Amino acid sequence: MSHASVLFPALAGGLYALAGLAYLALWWRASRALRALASATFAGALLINLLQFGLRWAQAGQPPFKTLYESLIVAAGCLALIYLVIELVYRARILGAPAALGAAVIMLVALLRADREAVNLPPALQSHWFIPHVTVYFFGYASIFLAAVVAVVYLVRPGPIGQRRPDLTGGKPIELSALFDGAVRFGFALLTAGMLMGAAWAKVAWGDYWVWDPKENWSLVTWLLFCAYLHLYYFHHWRGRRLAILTIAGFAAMAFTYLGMHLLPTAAQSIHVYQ
Amino acid sequence: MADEASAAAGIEGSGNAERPGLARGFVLLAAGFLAGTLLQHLLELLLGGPAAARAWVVPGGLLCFVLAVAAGLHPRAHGLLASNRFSVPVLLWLTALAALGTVILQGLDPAQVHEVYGWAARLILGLYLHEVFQSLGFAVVLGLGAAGLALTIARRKPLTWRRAGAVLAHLGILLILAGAAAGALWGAKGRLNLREGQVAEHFTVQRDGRAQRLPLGFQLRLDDFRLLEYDPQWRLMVFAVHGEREERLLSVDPADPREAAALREYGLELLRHLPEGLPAAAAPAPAGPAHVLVVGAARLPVEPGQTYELPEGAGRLQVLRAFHDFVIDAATRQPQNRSPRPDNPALEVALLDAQGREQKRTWLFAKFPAFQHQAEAGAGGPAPVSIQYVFTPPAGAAPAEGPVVELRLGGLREPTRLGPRQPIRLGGDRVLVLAPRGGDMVRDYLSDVSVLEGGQLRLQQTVEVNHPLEHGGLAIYQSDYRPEDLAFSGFQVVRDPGLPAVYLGFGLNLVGVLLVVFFPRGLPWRRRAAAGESATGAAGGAA
Repeated sequence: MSHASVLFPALAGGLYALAGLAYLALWWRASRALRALASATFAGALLINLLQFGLRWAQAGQPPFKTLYESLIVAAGCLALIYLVIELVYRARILGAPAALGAAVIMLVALLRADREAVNLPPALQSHWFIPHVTVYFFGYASIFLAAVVAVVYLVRPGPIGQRRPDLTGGKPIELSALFDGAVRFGFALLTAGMLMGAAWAKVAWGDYWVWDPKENWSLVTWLLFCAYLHLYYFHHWRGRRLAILTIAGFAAMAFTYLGMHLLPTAAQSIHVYQ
Repeated sequence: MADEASAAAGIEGSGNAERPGLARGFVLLAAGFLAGTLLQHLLELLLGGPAAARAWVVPGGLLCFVLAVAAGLHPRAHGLLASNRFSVPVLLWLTALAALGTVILQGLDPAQVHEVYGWAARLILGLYLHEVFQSLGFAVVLGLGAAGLALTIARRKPLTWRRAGAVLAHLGILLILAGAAAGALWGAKGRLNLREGQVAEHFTVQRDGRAQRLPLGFQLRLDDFRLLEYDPQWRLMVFAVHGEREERLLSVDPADPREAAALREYGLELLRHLPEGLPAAAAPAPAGPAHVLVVGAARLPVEPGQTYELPEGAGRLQVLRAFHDFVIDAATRQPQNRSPRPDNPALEVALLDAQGREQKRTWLFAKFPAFQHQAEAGAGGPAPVSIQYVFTPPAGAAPAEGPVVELRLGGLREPTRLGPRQPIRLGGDRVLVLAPRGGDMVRDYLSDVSVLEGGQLRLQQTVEVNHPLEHGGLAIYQSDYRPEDLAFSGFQVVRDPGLPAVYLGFGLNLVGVLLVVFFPRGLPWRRRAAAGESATGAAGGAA
């Protein structure tokens, strides 16, 4: 397990980084060969990422969602899968660089910072809710990550993008505000589903659907911030810059929910902190 | 365009006119939170304690909801509460309280709060931030928010397909809150402890700080309790120990030579791996004396009670005591043997000068080579020399259970035998141990129970985590066990009349959110039908 747990993420991370650079280069130079290189390396990286996920599952004999290392492998895969669907459906490559470079950084963190040892699943995690709850959440996280990246780009360069480069945007210019708004909505739906699944699971496991655990609270904070986003959009007509800032704030809350729980003084009271 | 988008999602907005309402909403919620907090202090005084006052938190929140809905019948209050301008302050207030509840330790008693937070303790205790989610202030904010939701839903007429998403999402939240309130008011949550063969008719709940027995409505018998453990997947691990924190630096499978090669980085060489351990019959007969000191290049067999001249002019050494499984007894603070197995051999030795005076007294551990250096001989005399203690188990000694590995530790000539869970200090902050893969070793714990009614067997079921027993309006959850008493099983018993409303709320909220997000302009086939009707109407009008 040890060799595969280093080799596969290193390979996948390297290919993601290469794909990210190719997608970045596409911004400067329209080239069919570069497009093919970017898409092919990205697909290859995703394939290795998924292979690593499957291998880990087979070797550990359990869904590989328990440790930080495993969750990072899943996070990179979800980010890549979401982007790949966007590219295949919309023929748009403007999110290629952030998706690929984001996945590369996640792989790097998995390699350098996370303990690669598999650990046994406690009884509470042996549930049919485990896989959908985690998967839905990670696709939500990936979507919010992409939304935040677009929001940052929007703050730097507002307005439509791809007017001179239709090959990057699937043939027509894209409003960045519409792009991060769409990603936020999609992510919000997934976060809602993930949170409700978690609550239903907790009820079956422990008799309480909500115990005000720090991670539960921060997932609620993230969800409430995106609820506020929708309400401010519809009822206070927030658009553009202010929503972009709120999107970044929501992403920060989400990232803290995922990776920051051990920093809280209440971390010891949590059953969700990664080992 | 903004209004189009709002209309598309079936939501009314009134533009800039609503902006001042944001501030009014924040102020109303702040006033509600403070009023709830004050009322909780008052209740504590009147009812004689925090536990009694806490019993009024959910009724207080519900009362706030009813009063706010009633106030909403007045046009001015309705204008604030039933408007969308109130939703954002509610969301942000809840966000702040949820975050505060993770930054401030929850569930501490006042003395602990003073100890942890010093000067800020009075503020925290005054606002009940140390139990924020069980405070009346929080319940009031929830009650006001729920009232705003209810009034907004009631206002949203007629219900069209385009508006269905927003209405369902909000109705779902209202149902979840209603179900949670019903569960808190009319439900019960308690404990039930059973030993195998024992029958219970009651469970115990804590109310107002007192234990109270409630009837189950049937008899529950524990037939059998089982604890299932994972097969230990033994790993050789190197840890760095920083105070109370351990950082795992390496973990390898001792059965995999490729993985085990990584041990060299830590000056270790794996010589042998015996996955089934070392059975007594197969254990090699001792080749020599049990205690050997390796001093420089020389081997010196020793016995407790004897004095020896160390080679290379390193002075004299007296062997005082020997233990085959050294441990310090917690009560007497004296060394003793922990088990009959030679798991932690140790020698107490005294280093003597040429006149036979004791210079230094120390312990040598066969499995802790780092401690060998403490026994440098010749202190104050000849040049110091390192002493290594090697222990050879006598024939027939009980071997350690589980796998065994033999390693060569850096700087030592004699191989070291390592059994499961016997850490060896490698030097500095590094520790080597043969331990099972991380995580909980308990795979599952299960209770086979029978439900009896009037002495008749009604139901038999295995209760385990994630698989509660549901009978007679109660759900019985496998809660805990006692490792030292495996005939014992602990259950949590829950009666939750609000659960159907909560689950319905989950479903409605999810469907509503999906409709708002994916079909903000209504369902596609409804849109097509509406477009067809309007086209037909237009054509008819033109004709």
